[in-house]
Amino acid sequence: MSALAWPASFGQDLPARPSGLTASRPAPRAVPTEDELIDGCLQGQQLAQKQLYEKYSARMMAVCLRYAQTTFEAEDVLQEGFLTVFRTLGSFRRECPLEFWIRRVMINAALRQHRRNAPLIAVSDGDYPENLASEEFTFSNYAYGELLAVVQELAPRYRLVFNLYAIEGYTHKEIGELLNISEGTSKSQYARARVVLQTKLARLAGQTRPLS
Amino acid sequence: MQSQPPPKGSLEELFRHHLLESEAAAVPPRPLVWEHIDNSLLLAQNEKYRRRLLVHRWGMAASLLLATLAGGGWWHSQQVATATLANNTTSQREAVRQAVAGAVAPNARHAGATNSDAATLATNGTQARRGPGTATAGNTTAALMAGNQVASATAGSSLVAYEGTNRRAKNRPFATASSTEQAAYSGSANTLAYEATTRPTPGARQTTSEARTSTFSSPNADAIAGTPTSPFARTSAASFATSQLGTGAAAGQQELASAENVMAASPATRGLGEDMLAGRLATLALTAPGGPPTDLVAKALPPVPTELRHWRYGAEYAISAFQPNIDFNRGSGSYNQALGSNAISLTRAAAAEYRANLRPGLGQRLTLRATRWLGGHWSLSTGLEVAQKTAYSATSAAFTGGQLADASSFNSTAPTTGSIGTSYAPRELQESSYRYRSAGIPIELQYDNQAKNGVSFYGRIGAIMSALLSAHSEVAGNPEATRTYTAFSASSPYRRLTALLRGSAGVRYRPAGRTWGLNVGPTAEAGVQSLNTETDRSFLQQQRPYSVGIEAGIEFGGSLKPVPATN
Repeated sequence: MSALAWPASFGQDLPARPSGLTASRPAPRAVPTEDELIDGCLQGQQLAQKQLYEKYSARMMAVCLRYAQTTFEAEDVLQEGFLTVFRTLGSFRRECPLEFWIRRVMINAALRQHRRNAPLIAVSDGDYPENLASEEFTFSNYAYGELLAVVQELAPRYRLVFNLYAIEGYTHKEIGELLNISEGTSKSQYARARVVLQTKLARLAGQTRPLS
Repeated sequence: MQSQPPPKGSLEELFRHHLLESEAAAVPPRPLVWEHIDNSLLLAQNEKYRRRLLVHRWGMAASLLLATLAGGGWWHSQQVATATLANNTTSQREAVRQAVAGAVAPNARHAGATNSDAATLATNGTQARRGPGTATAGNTTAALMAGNQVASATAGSSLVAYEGTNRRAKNRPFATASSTEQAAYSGSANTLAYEATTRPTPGARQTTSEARTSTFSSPNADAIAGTPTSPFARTSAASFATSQLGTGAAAGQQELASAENVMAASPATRGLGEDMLAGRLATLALTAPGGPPTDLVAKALPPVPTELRHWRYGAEYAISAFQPNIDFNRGSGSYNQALGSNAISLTRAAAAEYRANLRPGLGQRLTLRATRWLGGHWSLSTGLEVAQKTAYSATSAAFTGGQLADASSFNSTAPTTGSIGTSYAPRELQESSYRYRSAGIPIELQYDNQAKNGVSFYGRIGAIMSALLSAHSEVAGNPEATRTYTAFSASSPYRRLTALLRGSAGVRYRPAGRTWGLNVGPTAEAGVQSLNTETDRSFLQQQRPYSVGIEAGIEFGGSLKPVPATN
């Protein structure tokens, strides 16, 4: 309500405005909590939706990049995932952190993307050995970008299985249910992905630095 | 100082270390992504509003239609009532006029045969008497003129009208007895009266003049004597005659009014008038004023034999909320073997998910109905009906009722342990929609009052044999999950032939004299069996579909019909 609308006598009882504050400077806006963001999104507030997107988009982009082959594909997955998040946020029971739930939605979006594109992609195992012995890798010898590129170069099914098993921690049984394959198939595909990655890491180490 | 060795680990640990830890520092996506998301959210919101608007529009259209029907029905009933009243009044007037003409004719002939009588009548203030039930010529003409000019004419204006009548009568050529007789045979009371008025003798004209003179000369004396003045008396009689024209009672009153005119004219004329009136009454053997004509015999018309029409035909539209109430949880049956050992548990979980999210949809029905009257208030109706019913649910496994084809996105075990800790599996649900089209034959027993016009009530109960023509299911965003089963699909999870029980009641409006009627009222129906085939439940424990809604229809051929008389 405008101050002009108040009777003149009302202003006399008001305490004096602190000298340090000016009317033109907005009060510092508190960062909305997770529950406030969720409630705002459920009410259809565009501001809350954007704040939620800005809060989690970078992390979820990293997740999508692992499951996608290119940045464009990852952005598609991210877009579909966030649309699903806003559409189904009402089913989130707030029993776990919101980030976990969003991450799961993104993985599901990546799986749907894979199902849509799977018939169009010709899978080639390439020329790799059948099996390699396990070895240890020095973490500091590899950068995030190099490892991400190696993962993205995997065949789609290998990339999915490797991400789900090695990064997300799913069991082969769960992966079989998710991808509609048997547990044995999941294991064999993971072993194959591991060989490909090991070989590529060895090649990468041979180009730039000695393999430890 | 010993340096700490660089961290090492397996292949999995290497990727987990770099990829997970680098998520926080990952590059955010391009701003274009948010614009796309925002645009899609806006479109989805608009679509939601559009759906709401559509529902509101349908509701408003239905309300408007009902209001229009109700208003139109009310207006029509008012029109019918007014027309009936007008017809009755006209026919009554005509009947009385004919009766009057019939009664007057012999008297008028008699009056035409004796010129002296007519002259005498003209002398008495130009009031030609016609016998029982007729108006006086002068008064009638004055009344008609006064009535035509101003309904509430003053005494003066009535007097002018009265004088004008007399003047006109004097200016016209004398009527002959034959013309009077001809007028009498013409059957028109007004013409007859006028012709009688125009038939005075010179003596009569003089007497008329005297009477008029006395009328004009003695209003005060009459007023003082307590009798109404002649103009006023004539005006009263004229007004009353105008308002009661054509009724026997009015004619009787006119007799009295004419007599009062004569009495109020002048003492000399009054005495002469009394004598003449008495003589005339004796001659004509008038009945008492106000009594019914003795020569009219009341005859009761025989009732027109009628009966209810045996067949009625109609069309009906119903809109309802339909709940398929399906439980796809199979106790036995076929499962998708490709799902492996989890086929049963996954399918059951998907069926439970379907049932948990099941929501009713819109049901529409169009019925063509033929109704046979059984007797009394009871009728039996049958016909043909087509229906389309919809329902909605949600699924995370593209489950639409048949075999579970794809469980890749379905997670029936939550929470799941993952690298990010305990990951609670969200049910990423996709909306699934179902559309059922069917055709059926209803057989219903109906209770109503077919003979009643206006508003009446009806009730109906019966069974419907319904054949499922097609069942179509879709999953939003998953076109591969779309299924369409026809009546000949072997893998259809639905019953091809079902029986339904239906009850409805409501209000019917049938305009008077019309053979059509409109009916509207609530309706409810329930299936005798479940909509799906594979169920391990007993007959009594089955989950049956049901719907509740409102129906509106039109019916032709109702009400009574005349029956030809049999000798």
